[in-house]
Amino acid sequence: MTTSNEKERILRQELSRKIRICICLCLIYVLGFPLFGCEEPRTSKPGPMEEVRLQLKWVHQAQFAGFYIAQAQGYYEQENIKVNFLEGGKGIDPAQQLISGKADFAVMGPESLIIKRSEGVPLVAVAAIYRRSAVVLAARQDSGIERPRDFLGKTVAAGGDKSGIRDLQVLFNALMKKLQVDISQIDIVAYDPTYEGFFKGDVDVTPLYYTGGVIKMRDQGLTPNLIWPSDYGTRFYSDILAVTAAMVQEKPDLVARFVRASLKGWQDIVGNFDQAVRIVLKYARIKDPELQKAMMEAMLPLVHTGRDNIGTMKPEIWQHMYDILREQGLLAHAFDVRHAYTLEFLKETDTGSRK
Amino acid sequence: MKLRTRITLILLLLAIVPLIGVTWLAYHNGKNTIEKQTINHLDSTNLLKGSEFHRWINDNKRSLQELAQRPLVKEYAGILATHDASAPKYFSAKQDLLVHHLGVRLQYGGFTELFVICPGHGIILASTNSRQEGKYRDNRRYFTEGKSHTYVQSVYYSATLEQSTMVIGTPIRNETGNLIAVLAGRLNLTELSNIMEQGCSLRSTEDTYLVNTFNFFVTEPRFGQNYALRKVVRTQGVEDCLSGRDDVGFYKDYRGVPVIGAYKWLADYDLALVTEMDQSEAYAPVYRLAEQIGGITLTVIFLIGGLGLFLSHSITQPIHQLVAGAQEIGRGNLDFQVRTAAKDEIGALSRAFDEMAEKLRYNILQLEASNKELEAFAYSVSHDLRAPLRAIDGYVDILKEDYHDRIDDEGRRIMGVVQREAERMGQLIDGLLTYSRLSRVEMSVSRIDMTTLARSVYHELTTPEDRERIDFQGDSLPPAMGDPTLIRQIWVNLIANAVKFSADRNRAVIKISGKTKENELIYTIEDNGAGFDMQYVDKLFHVFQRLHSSREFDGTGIGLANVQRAILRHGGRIWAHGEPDKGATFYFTLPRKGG
Repeated sequence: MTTSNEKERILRQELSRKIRICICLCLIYVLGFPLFGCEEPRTSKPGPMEEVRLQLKWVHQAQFAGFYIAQAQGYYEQENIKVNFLEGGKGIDPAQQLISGKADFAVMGPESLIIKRSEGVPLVAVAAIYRRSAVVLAARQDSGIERPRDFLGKTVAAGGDKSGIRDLQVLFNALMKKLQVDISQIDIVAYDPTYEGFFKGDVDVTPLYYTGGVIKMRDQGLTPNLIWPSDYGTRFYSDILAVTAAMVQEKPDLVARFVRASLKGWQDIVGNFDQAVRIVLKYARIKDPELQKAMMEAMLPLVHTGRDNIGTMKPEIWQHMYDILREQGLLAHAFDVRHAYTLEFLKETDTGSRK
Repeated sequence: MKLRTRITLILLLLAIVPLIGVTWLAYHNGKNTIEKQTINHLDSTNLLKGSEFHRWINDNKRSLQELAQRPLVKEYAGILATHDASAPKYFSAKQDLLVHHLGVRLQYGGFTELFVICPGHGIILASTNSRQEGKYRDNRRYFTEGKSHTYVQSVYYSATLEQSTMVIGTPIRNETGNLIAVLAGRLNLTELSNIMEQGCSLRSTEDTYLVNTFNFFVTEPRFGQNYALRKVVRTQGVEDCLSGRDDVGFYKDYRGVPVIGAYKWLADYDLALVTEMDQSEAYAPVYRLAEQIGGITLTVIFLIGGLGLFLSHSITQPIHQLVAGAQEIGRGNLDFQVRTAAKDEIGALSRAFDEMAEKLRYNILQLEASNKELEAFAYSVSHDLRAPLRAIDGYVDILKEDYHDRIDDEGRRIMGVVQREAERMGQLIDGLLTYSRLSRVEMSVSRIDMTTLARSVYHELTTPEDRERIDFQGDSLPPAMGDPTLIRQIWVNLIANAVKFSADRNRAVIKISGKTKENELIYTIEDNGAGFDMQYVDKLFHVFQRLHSSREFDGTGIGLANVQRAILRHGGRIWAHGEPDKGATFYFTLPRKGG
């Protein structure tokens, strides 16, 4: 009796060990599979690479760093997207490129999008890259001009030129309007991107970009007084990523993937700044590392202020921008600005938020 | 392995193994202790800084609240909020507010800017920094939240100020509890940095900094400039902390340097407080200890090695002396004495060895002396014996000649016997002389052509008739090194024996051969003569021992003894094989390189 009992016990032990091993193996397989699988989740997607064209707002420069990085780091490839960058420049209107179908995505100013939208062109913003306008008003340090009210009786180079509506003028006008400054008491001359008048002292105040003109001035040894429109309740986005409404409807998945990959690239700038500078230099027209680096340093706080996630848009800002443009009579027709943007592609990009 | 090496190695092993054990233990324990100490230190530093941070904010909060509750501040703020800037009251109210209240408070530190915001539009009505006046702060949390309660807006980057900033907002209410304005204070972040840096100077790599939920540095880390709100940090410690854990970890910091870090989540401000220290600094005492122990180990190795060498030398030196002495004595220098000064067992051994050598020398000298005496005796005996023999022989001749007719036949026969025996005795004496000479003569070694030697000896010893009868087979023999006289003696005796003992054979066969084997040369001489009984093989080479009667074969019984002597003097051996009436074979060897 005892021996048979003993045998049975041994057999049972062996069996239970085998079962345990089996369970372990199964667990490893079941748990491990998604682990191994998630390394490259996108490559499993069937079909060839989808080609998209991204129209940039201006020539290749640090302004578009995030997109370059997404490309260089293979984030687009991971999303099964092949991106062709279309360089911008004089005479190239990103909105027009989208409408004509020459580009699938475009980096453009929100004012341009809202104006087009008011004309009935169905463009939609899917992400705000520069969530703070880079537009700033500069006054010579010794001029005593510290706030918009001080512009009275001075010369401001905020006049329009033939190239169309610029956010510089829009913001300047909006600011004056908001603060109820009498424009007629200001000597408004045409905007000059070389700031020659300003340097000579003929012009007291000039609007410029924090990421461009300010760097130029500081390079010249000037430390101008900077007057931010946003400090006076005039808040604008600068660069937004836009598509056509048709695109949002027909290929929401592609848009989502593109936005995801792009924002990841933008996220990387703050993660690894030096690497970002290196990548940008490969694309940039002006191969001046100091300049591109300065531009990127200047744009960082405009892109990511350390408060919100990259790309996020706020409905109240869109409403604000719409109101400003409408007040300035720049809109052909009134419309519901909520149709000009969508937040649906930003939901899953909360990479910075607390886990 | 040599004794010396073995002793040294054993000593080294005995010294190093426990040393390594102790070293490892010390290192391990030291490292553990230091790890614990460091972790405790970092943890308490972190806790301390955390509470410092809280205290700093709370102090400033209270300071701001106190300002907001001053009746005069309320009055002035009310005037600013409700009157137009052009009103005369407005200007003086603003001046009084700024100079006597906000400006005074600024001097106490804590804030870099204090300002009053209009509750309606969020416009800054008055600020200690006049450039800020008129700006809209309607979208700031410290304003929107500050309208209802004191609110601390955690650190953010202000593009306008181009620096990071942290603001507290608190409502200013009138007696009835209605909101008049919002009082806001921009915190002096230098103080925050000071809190973070405090005490860090004691250690060269200790680093405390704050990180916000977007992984941005909030304060400047020790090894970075302009990092605050411009750089993100995604180290393991920070990520761990941002997922809500307060812990300690070993990881690489923002520079990629391995650190020990303690981190704490400040939930009220959504900030991660991280205190780190380079592992290299933390472990420096352990590494120093390891270095010291390593130095000691090396020193000990050298010391023990030297000691081992000395010790083994003192042990092996007398042994080497003994060996050298033995070799010296072996070479025949019996006067050699080891004479060690050692008093230990080896000294005793060498003294015993010396005594032994001394005795040996004494014995050998005695032996040599008695040998010489013996030889002299034998020589003189044999020499002196000849004279009477010659006399006997001569007198028998006289008898034969002069008394020929007076002696009968029997008498004549007996005289013949006497003469024969006398002759035999003469031969015996000659043999003895040879025998004694064999031991006395100096050997002069040279190369000998054995083939020629054996053949010439054969020819000398035989008559042409003999050679008719004998079938002599003399192969070519390997040459040898030896004394030509002695070697010749060997061949003479052996060939003579072979001829003699095969004399009664109709067809005698004598075969001589030789070969080289290892380090000796073996020569063989074989005959088909009378042979001998193997039973008596031992007696064969003894002096005066004969296996055959003189009647059968004449001889003195000294020849083979002489052969053996000659061979032994060369360092060779001799042995024989035989069978009665079938023949005998003699073998002898000579060393190959000569003796």
